[in-house]
Amino acid sequence: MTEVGRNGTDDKARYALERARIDASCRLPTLVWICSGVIWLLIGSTLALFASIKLHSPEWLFPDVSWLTFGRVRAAHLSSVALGWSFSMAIAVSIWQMCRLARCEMIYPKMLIVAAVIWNIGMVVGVVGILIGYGQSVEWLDMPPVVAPFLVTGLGIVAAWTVATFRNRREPHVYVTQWYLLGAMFWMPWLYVTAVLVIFGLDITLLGMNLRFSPATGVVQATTNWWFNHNVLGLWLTPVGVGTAYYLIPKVIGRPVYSYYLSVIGFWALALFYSWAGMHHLIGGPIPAWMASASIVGSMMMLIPVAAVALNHHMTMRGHFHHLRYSPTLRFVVFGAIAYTAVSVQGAFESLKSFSEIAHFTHYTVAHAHLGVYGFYAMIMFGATYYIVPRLTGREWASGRMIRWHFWLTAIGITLYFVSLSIGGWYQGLALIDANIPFIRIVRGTVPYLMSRSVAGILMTIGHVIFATLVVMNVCGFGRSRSGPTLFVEKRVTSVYEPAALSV
Amino acid sequence: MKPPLDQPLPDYEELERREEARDVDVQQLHAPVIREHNEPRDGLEPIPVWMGMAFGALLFWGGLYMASNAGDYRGDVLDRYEPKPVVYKAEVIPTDEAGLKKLGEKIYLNCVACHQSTGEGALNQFPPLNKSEWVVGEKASTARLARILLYGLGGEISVRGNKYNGAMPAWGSQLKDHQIAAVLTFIRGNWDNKAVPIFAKDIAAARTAVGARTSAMSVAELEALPIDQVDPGATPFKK
Amino acid sequence: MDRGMVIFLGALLTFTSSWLGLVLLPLLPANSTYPVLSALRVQYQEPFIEDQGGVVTSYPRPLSGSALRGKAIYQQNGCMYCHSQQIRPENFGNNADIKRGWATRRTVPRDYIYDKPIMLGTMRTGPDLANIGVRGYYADWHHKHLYDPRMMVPGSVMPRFRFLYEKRKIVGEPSIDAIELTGKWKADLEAGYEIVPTGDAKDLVAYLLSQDRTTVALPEARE
Repeated sequence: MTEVGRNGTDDKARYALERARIDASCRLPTLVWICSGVIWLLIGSTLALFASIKLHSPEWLFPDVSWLTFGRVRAAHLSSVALGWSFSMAIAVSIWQMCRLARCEMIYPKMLIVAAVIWNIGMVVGVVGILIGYGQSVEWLDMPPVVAPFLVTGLGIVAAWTVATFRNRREPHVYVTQWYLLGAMFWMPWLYVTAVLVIFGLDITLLGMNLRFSPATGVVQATTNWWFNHNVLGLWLTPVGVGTAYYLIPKVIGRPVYSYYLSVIGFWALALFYSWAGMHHLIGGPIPAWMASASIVGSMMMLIPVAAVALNHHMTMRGHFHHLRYSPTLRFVVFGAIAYTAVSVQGAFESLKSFSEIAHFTHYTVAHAHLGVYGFYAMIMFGATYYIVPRLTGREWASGRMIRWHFWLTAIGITLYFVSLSIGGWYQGLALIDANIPFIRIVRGTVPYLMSRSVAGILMTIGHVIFATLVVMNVCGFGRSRSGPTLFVEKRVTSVYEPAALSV
Repeated sequence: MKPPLDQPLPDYEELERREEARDVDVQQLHAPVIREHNEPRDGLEPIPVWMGMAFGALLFWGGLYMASNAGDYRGDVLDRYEPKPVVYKAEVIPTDEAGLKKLGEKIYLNCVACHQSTGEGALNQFPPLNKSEWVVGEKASTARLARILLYGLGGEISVRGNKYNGAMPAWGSQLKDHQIAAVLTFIRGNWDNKAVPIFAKDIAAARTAVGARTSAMSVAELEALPIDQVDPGATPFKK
Repeated sequence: MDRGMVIFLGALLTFTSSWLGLVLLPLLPANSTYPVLSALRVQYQEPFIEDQGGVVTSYPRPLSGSALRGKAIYQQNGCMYCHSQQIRPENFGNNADIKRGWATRRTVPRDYIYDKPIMLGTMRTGPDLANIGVRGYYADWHHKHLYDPRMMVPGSVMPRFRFLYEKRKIVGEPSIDAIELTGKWKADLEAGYEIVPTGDAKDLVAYLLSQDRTTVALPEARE
């Protein structure tokens, strides 16, 4: 069973040794996936800046180059950050946490590296393909279908590895993070294969046999597409993000998670309700009433798991919020967890008809999306990276000041992003439903808010460059070596016997 | 190599020697790892009662919502708030002035992009229809209006003292005769305009009179038609 | 039952519910023989055919030739990411979509049966294009607008698609395809040169002109 709360040094040392071995075995594959993620983050941020600037100033930045027009750059940006950065980080943190929680050393590390190579080949072909003019105009699945086999293989290897690791575990207790990660690894390949087959179909000749499969016509493509997109958010990114928060928050502050029962509700309600909410992207569109209604109910029911998780994390943190002053990991992760609650509550109400009437088709939705994938998911991934990498390389972060800059640039950036686009999008929506306002006036009205978004994007990108620099410095061994953890501010040691000491 | 759980801690120095043989820098790895707390564990606080009740209420709401807004789960019911099953109604073709005006108002939505919902158009771009001499004034006639709608209009035209040099597209293939008649009746009877209605047979007569034609009308051609000219088969002239 | 099996079965059952309900069931053809299941289906397959006094309307019609090639250009340039192609019903947003003149009725699933890929769009940075072919924008307007949107709509933020146009020296007579520039664009063009749309541009415009989704009054859209 879980170890009872003894703080005895014997146990600590023994488990520490075990963890050291696990980390040593995890080192190369996890670092490979983290580096893959960081590279895609830089690529995705650059494309994001292009897209954002082009939307309010289309005459800037090489307006006559076809692969830099907004339609293509936006699609390439989404693929780079959603499939490149987000997936790479999800896999990196998952494989490390699965090993840690299973308390066994990593099995088949080379397979994970092979998966990383295959995944990245697919990603490069896909993103370049979109830019040069092979985009599919299917949201989140823009990359030409030729990359699908690469992505399925890479993902499939990691999913199979996860199940094998779980079955190979030494720790009998299954901690809540493992439920989330197992769920995510089980659902994601199924989602992707279904979406690609239903939307793109299949037309290949294998061993002399011609396999053709093209089932979806008309709006069924759109409904399947949004079922897939929304579930990538909710049944892949959300479980990885929330599961990681469930691991890191209690880990850093040294307290147990508040309530096992809330964890149970949080996980199963997510699994049950989230997958029905996808159609809310098509409310008002040419879909049957029952699909739209099911999505609204699914979206509102999501308040249940979100409230459970929020209460759980809050009560776990209660009395320990002062640690946010010191620990980079904790600050990023708690920011992300709060953003998760905010974006989910917003999303639940955004699906209701009176809200959706105004917000649909506007930049408001874009702000909401970025609060989720960036404010929640990316921030938690930053926090997780700050925790994991020193344990793999054995080196502390080179500069607490740089981490501080990273945090504030990205936190202020995403806040500015969210606020400016939400306000701009809301006004845009109100104007769209007033037929007396000429359309071009609505477009001009959004421009100042789009410019604020570009400013926010610049802040965030600088933060990412700092982050990437820190990772490179740590992995390559540059920078000062330290004997203690890299914190935001130096912690004053008040007493050697300080209970529940912070451990970063 | 997994250390066994129930044996005493091995000798540290011995371990170091073994680890060095494996080329792992134990000292380095231990620094961040040793100061960690043990892996997280679950507390056993119960779910607060108020939260359980809130969840129950939300589930109840969800059930009610699905019951009233799912449109019997039919694939052909699209409206959410008043789900109606599909009833095939044949299109009613109006023949009276009121019916034509009502239909014309709907058809006119095809025209608002240029002529605007006020009928005032846009200066130098799209001519106004309101108080236009071509619609209800001294240059208006059923035959001329039918031709404009059926075949389009190009070249320079003067309306209410202003010149316009655009290209109005032809609607003869997209709209049926009664639809063209309806929208003409509408523009002639809406805003400040008041004139006799135009009927489907007038449009059909114009089609027959002109025959097949792929180029737009010009103002010169229209002005060549006398005001009182009536195509064979159309409504007799009435001012 | 060990914990791993609980997680597996739970994840399987919860996921299967939406997989069946939102993906597989709607895929089954609407006119199949199982009445219980037919209620859920969305996938229409037959177009609407109406014969009114000898005039046969068959709607929708699949694209072909230039318009079909143009659809690929539209798809590859990500036009969908600013332009939607769906009209919302009258009880949505003060009926604004219809009042703006974008269409005469809402769009229904049958309007899209030949759309592959379907590009409903989720952003209206630019106006809706479901019916752009019948809203009075003629081919020349589209060419000028694609060449530089700000020439036709001052203040537009749409990217310019000059790479779909060719600037070439006038040889003898100006070609009939050449587009007529205005204002400062005309001044910027050197004398003796003309702007001619490439095949891609013509295809794209043919596609745009073919967009007609609501002029046919379908039975399911009649109130």
